[in-house]
Amino acid sequence: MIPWYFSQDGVREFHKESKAKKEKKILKQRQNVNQNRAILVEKADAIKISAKKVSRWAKKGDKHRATEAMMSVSFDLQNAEPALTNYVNNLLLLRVYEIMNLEGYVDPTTLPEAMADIDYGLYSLSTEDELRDLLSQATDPLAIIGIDVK
Amino acid sequence: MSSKARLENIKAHTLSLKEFVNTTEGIISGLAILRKKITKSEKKILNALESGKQAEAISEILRLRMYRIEEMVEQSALSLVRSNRFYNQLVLDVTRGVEANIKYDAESIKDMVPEDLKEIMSDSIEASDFYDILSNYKDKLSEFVQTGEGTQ
Repeated sequence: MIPWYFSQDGVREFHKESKAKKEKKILKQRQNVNQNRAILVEKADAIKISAKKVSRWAKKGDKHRATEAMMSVSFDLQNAEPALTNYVNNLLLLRVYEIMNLEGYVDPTTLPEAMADIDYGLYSLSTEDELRDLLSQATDPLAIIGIDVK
Repeated sequence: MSSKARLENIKAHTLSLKEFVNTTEGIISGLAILRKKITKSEKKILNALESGKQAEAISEILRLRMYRIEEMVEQSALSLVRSNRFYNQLVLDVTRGVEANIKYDAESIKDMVPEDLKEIMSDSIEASDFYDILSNYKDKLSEFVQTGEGTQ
């Protein structure tokens, strides 16, 4: 079975482009990934600051303020989901561009039939929904131990 | 295929193979660094939970997810690079085999595909002690996440 990821127009087009155009696209995609990552790191830092406030208010016995800070942690954590999905989509595209730019790269769609059932990990998924589900099940410690954050 | 064309073919696939072997090594080194970051992040979460700081434990979860996502992307990239590395190796082996009068058919080539190329993701979602220990704090964590209230 041909992995869906490699049949997308953007990926197919990249394969046909000149070396210079490929490198330009890689550079732009790398900038996208860096921006996405910076947003996530900023969010993680903001969540940490709120979390420390929880500890501080709780220590002082101020339950209302501690609860407010806790809600902020929980809310920010749930709101990070679209940023995470965007990050993984851009990172997947960047890595595929970088690999396609290697000399002698052969697309999975043109590899011999004998190599058809190779597991390409996230590149083997068939839809974005499937990607989102797998990311939650495999990377979210809360979901793994059975806590629903939605 | 003429002898000259075969030699050119071998030369091109040897160069590509080298490129993919080097890239594989680079990804594996990157994965080792990510694994260390993941372990460090997991330790931070468990230490916070052991000190009764549930909010601080949860605050580290986003960072841990980011690292684990990066690990999964790298493992997926590794499978793509490995398939290309294997393909180049396969072409070289078969070309040399044909020169030595070895007969190949679809089945024998299929048998040459290593099993580990088909099992990348199962390795990435590996169980660890971290999740066993984390589940001990499930009640405290779930109270925090679902209601936005809890104790510190």
